[in-house]
Amino acid sequence: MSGSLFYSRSFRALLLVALLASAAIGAGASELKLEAKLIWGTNDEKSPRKEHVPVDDATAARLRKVFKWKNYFICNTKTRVIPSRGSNQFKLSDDCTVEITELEGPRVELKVIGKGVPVHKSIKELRKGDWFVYCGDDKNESAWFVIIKDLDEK
Amino acid sequence: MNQEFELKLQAWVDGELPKREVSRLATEIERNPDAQALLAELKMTRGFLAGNEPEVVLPESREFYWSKIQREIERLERTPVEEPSIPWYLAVRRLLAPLSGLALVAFLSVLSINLFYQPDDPTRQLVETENLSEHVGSISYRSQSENMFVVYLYAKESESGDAEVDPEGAPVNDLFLQ
Amino acid sequence: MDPRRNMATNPEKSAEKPVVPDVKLVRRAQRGDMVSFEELLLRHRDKIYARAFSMMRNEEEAVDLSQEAWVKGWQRLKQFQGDSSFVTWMTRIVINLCLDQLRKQKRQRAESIELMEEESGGVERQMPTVTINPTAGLERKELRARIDKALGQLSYEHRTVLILHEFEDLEYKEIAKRMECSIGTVMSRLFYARRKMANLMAGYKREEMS
Repeated sequence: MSGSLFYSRSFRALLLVALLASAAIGAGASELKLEAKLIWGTNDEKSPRKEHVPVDDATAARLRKVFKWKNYFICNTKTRVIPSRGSNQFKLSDDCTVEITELEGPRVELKVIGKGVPVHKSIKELRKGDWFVYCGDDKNESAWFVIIKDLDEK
Repeated sequence: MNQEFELKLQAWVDGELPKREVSRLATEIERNPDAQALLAELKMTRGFLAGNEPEVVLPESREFYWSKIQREIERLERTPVEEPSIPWYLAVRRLLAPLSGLALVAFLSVLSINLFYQPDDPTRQLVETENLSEHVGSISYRSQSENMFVVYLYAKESESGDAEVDPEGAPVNDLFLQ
Repeated sequence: MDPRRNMATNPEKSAEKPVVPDVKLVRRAQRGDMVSFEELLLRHRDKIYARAFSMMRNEEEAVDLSQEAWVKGWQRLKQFQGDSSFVTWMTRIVINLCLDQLRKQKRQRAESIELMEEESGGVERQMPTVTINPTAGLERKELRARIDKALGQLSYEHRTVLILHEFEDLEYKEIAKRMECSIGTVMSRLFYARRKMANLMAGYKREEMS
């Protein structure tokens, strides 16, 4: 009798602690708010496309420190929430999609898909202030960039 | 000369060119002085490397080197102690008490990680990259000063020197902007 | 009686102890004789260490990996069938350990833009063809020293493929399997590595002449 009472109390205590632990773990694995920007880099003064907007000065300065092109234009910007342990896609043009999956801890998997074909995959930690950049050559000695950053405030 | 031709020259030097391609390659080499010069260089490089691997001597004494190995072997060979088997219901009872303690420790650990996580840990620069297409190559770079990690994607050129066409899609260098 | 006189008239007693072939030592070690295994180590430790050093280019790492290879060699000795020589078998073990370590390091390292080095994208085509043998007239010791210096200037991918092909005599297919890449990648890396070696050796020759 006293034995079964003991096990019953132990079991309830265990369940309570397990619930608390899982709540804490769940709070740690939160969703991510990310921005992906498709940018065109060129030495031309203007973009031939009217809808292209020059990047802000701070972004331009940062890009110029690393890359050789003089001018940078935003072609598209997408903001998405990546659910915990889930994925979301950023369709940046008809031919370019970046799929991001939230992994354990602060790591994400970034996959570049070109015309429906997966081209490259990276796994990296993303933190506020860091940029993850995919880039490649484009026509007439210009280049394209996909810049991914974490918009999370915390 | 394009890269495919150069690699065939190399394969021929290494004895790895398929037999059916050898006579055709020989004919092309005969009428191409650049190919002859490159072939000579490849053979010369193979020649001076053969049998001339740098000699290096172990920088530790035999006794010291061996003692570490022997200790490790002996450590690995110590057999683990087997625990006597107990009935399952007794095993479950034995687990209940420490399991509740473990859950509490896990809760407190997760709480402390969230409170004290250090964002400037250098191991956060770890990255894994993988090319998913044979027609695309990639090079990774990081800029510490700009907190930027960059993956540069490039099209692997075909024999014609043009950007290689992905059979399932468009040329890689046109992939992203229209 | 002077024992030395006895020895002088009895050549068999003064003869050196015959060298036990590796095959016999391996068989004894497979039966658990660690003294025989130690003898094998004594004979081949430099070769195994040299292979690790040529791949890792770091003394400490090479010592650790070569020791790990010997420990693994002992653990797997019963699997050694004698298809190759014992030293070839041990060399394969240390190569695989080095490749694992290099892969781990590569995952943790990205080329720094600030210290960027051009090593892909057709750079080898920009290198002039070396027409005069830069090693002509060199003593073997000096030649090996220059080769060692040049190897140190290659990236780990290019150095590894060169070592596996030129010094381990592995075929492209085998190298591709061990380096977990395509045969095409092996071929282009080997091509670059050879061209770079030729140009580096030509450079050392020019420095010597000037």
